[in-house]
Amino acid sequence: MRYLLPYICLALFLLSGGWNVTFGQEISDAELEDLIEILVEDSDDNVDYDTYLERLTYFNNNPINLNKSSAEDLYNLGLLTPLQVGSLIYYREYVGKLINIYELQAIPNWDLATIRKVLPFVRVKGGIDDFNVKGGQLLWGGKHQLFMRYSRVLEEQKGYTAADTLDDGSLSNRYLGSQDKLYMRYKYGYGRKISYGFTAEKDAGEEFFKGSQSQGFDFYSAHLYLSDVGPFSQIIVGDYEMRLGQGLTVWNSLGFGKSAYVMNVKRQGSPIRAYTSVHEINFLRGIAASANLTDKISVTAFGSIKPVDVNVVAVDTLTDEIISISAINEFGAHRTESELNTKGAVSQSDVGAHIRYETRRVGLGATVAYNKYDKPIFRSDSPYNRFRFSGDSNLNYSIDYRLLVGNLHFFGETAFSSFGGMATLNGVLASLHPTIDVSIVQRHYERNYEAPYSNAFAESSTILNESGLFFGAEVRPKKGWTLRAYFDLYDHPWLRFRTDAPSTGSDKLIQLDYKPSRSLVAYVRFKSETKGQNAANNSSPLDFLTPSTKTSFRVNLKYKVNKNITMKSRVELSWFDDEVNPQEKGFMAYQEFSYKPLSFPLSFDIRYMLFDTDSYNTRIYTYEKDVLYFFSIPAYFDQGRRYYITARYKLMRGVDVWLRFAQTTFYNRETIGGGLEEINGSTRSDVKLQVRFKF
Amino acid sequence: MTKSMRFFRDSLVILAFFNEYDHKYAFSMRRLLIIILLSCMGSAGLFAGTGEPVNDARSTALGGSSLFYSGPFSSFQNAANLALLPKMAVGLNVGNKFQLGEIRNYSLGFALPTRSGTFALGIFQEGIPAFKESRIALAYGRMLTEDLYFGVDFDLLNINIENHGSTSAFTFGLGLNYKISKNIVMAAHVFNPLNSSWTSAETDRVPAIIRLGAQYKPSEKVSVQLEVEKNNQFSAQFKGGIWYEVLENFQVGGGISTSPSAFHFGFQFEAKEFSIGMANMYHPTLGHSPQLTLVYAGVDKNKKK
Repeated sequence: MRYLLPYICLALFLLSGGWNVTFGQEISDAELEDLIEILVEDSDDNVDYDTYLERLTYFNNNPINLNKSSAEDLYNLGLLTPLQVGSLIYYREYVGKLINIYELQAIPNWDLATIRKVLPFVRVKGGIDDFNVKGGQLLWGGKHQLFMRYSRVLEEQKGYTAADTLDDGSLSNRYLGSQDKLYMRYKYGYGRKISYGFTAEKDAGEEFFKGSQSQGFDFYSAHLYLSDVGPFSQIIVGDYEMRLGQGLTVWNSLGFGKSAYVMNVKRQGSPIRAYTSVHEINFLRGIAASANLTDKISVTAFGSIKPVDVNVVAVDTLTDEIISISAINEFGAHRTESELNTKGAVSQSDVGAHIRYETRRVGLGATVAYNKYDKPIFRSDSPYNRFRFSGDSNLNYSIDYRLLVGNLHFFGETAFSSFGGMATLNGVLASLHPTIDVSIVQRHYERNYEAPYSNAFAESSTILNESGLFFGAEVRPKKGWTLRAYFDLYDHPWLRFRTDAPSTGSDKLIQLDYKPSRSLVAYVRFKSETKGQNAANNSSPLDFLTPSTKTSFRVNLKYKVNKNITMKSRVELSWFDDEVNPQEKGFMAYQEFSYKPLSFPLSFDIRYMLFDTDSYNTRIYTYEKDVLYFFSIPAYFDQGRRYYITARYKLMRGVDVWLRFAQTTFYNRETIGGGLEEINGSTRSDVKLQVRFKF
Repeated sequence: MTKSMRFFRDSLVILAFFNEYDHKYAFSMRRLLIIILLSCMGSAGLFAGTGEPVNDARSTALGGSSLFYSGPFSSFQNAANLALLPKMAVGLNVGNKFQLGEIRNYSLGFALPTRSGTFALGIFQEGIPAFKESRIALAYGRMLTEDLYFGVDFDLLNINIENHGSTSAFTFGLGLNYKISKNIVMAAHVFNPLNSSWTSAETDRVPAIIRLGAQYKPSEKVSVQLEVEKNNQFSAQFKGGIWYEVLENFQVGGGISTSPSAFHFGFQFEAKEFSIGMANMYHPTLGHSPQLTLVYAGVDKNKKK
């Protein structure tokens, strides 16, 4: 209590109107866009970022009540560190409910930047969850949203041209469907009490209501989610995501890893969440439920069965039945005969359970997850696969913990796989001073550990064959200034794809942010990563590793000229050096103009960009403003220009239309893309139309 | 030190393993690997070498960043910090690089504040009789204004190669610290700005080193510092770390350094006038480099008053 006394005094002072700070409710696009952009640069392209944006947009429309929210609710935002969540709950316990949103400044570890970041998503009173609603109202009286999206590449790609006749008389491979991409989604929600909806998608090249796709779309997903029903705190039927522990066993949802947001290294959030995206593999399909046995103990169980695409290695010559597979194919496209032949060819079943003990200071959890394929996996006999999982079933079990001691927040998980491997992750978040935060994460994943839905903090996208130590710090030495830096040293004790020897690596980032006011946001960032990988252009009979270093330097500026106009500028340089071949360089610069009037239904963003890189190694990622809930963070390489315009028009109340046109022209290419995606020309144009109905 | 001399030194270290200097060590692949890597990675700055800052345990824990260290070893690091020293201090430091006895180092430091500034003396030695480097530094530091400190160090460097003779060089360093705000101090140190020579050969020059850094110290309990070091013979190196007082007499620190990439960790315990510090640098391939520092600081007369 003594610890809180100064804060209580500050709270009283603030509430008495002694200090006026302007709080706006405007959603901070820059923070979100930047966070997601950083993630893409460091991880796989197939992570579900649009769901994350959608979730934040949801919280913007349905803010969390800070007086009622549990730690889990707060974690779900993904914007607060465990120390900040712990401080809020502690504050509530000892001071009582927050009276006003201004009181947030009195909570320890909540600095002004954090408050500004979360403000669009939180409230301290009122709201839809406070009412007792009747069944009919709950089922239909909430918010409905229907999205319809159409997109396509305007230039003809090779997969859509007439097939060639091959030497043996057969026809060459071509896509069966049209070049159009279609997407439809309906979602209903009443606060956080209920949600249901469906999603459907047809990728470019897939058939639609004909041939192989007699049911219309290639991919369908649906769910019904309820909270606080009978004994269950959460229950879902249909497609869902599970998020348990630190992601060593099951975490098939977005999880932040290495980024400039160095305190965002701990997995946290409610265990069950509806799946509304279109990644065709990384979700669970069936039923999941969570129940609170006491106010400190909860249990969660889930079961799932779904078909998955595979890479086939052996087929019964008599029956054509698949005998074994080499891997699960996560691409999710079914455009050609061969892609259709392996569509949903194997059934994957998953069951699991999680028990959790939670107090403010301590959290302990135990997870068990079992998965089975109806055909065994036998990977290729490449040396890097030597210790990978093979067989048709795998059992994973783990324990996870969190512990709050003073200003230190410890967390971790240790997991085992019945295949033999062990994985452990341990970390600490520390607030050493109101202006200094530190994070440390240690991990050790054995080369024979395997869990199909693992997504933990790591350098690699697969959680195995890696040991490392991460050290991150965030310092706010002066108002408006933030320095973030991380340093990660890791090693892979066994071979990896295109890395034919055990290897080591290091990853460093330092970023200085300057936000003197709400209208100006600027930062400079330096990032360098060195990792061992097979030397390129190697003419010797043996592969050997070289320490390959990719370095980038970025200057970014965002300035809000007035209420309607925002300017964004960026210059980025990159270098790649593998100590064997000549150094490669890259450059990119863009200018963006955003017009978003408050009293006029039309708003738009225009960007013009030039890029010039020596190779793919020096590619540069940039976030692009796209239609709502669609994320576009392409990487650019070679030489060319790009521009796009994304416009939004509020047609009438509840009906919004987005139109986007983007075009890239390369100066040093005569074709774009490869295989069936190839365009015979130097220009690629994309058009996208989206309509949203809200009622 | 020229590349040829460095290669010669490394070769001697290798020979030491197979000859009379290393009967006590059994041959192992790990040791061989370390030796080969050390030989190949001279250019990566793993050998501090004569002329590099000689760090105490706390500076090692902070990633090797020592621009803001004030103590008996300041003569090796940045003499400007001597201006902040309130009392006499004497210290002993032992570092065991990569746990190899052949490149173990010892240093002794002494600093004495006077009315006209603080004087300091440091003695450093590294290596075995086959190859030995030593350094003697005499330094002086004082305040110019309340926010500006200045220091100068004069250094005598020596390399001794058994059966080949020895060579010495004389040089100096200049340091400057300046407060830009209540919590932020900037520092700069230049070592051997005139590029003294070891021998009459034009190429045998002592490295010139420039270090620039900043320290943010929002309270007496915690500080963060970052520095960049450029040695004209090596790649630029970034070093930084955080130092935190866990208990009244017990502090811990952690840091990083680049080129080569390494983690650092350490702690310090204080008991009356004595303090003992331990630190370790971890390099993923070469392993651990533990270090121990003992300091005796005299009674702070100003404090008594």
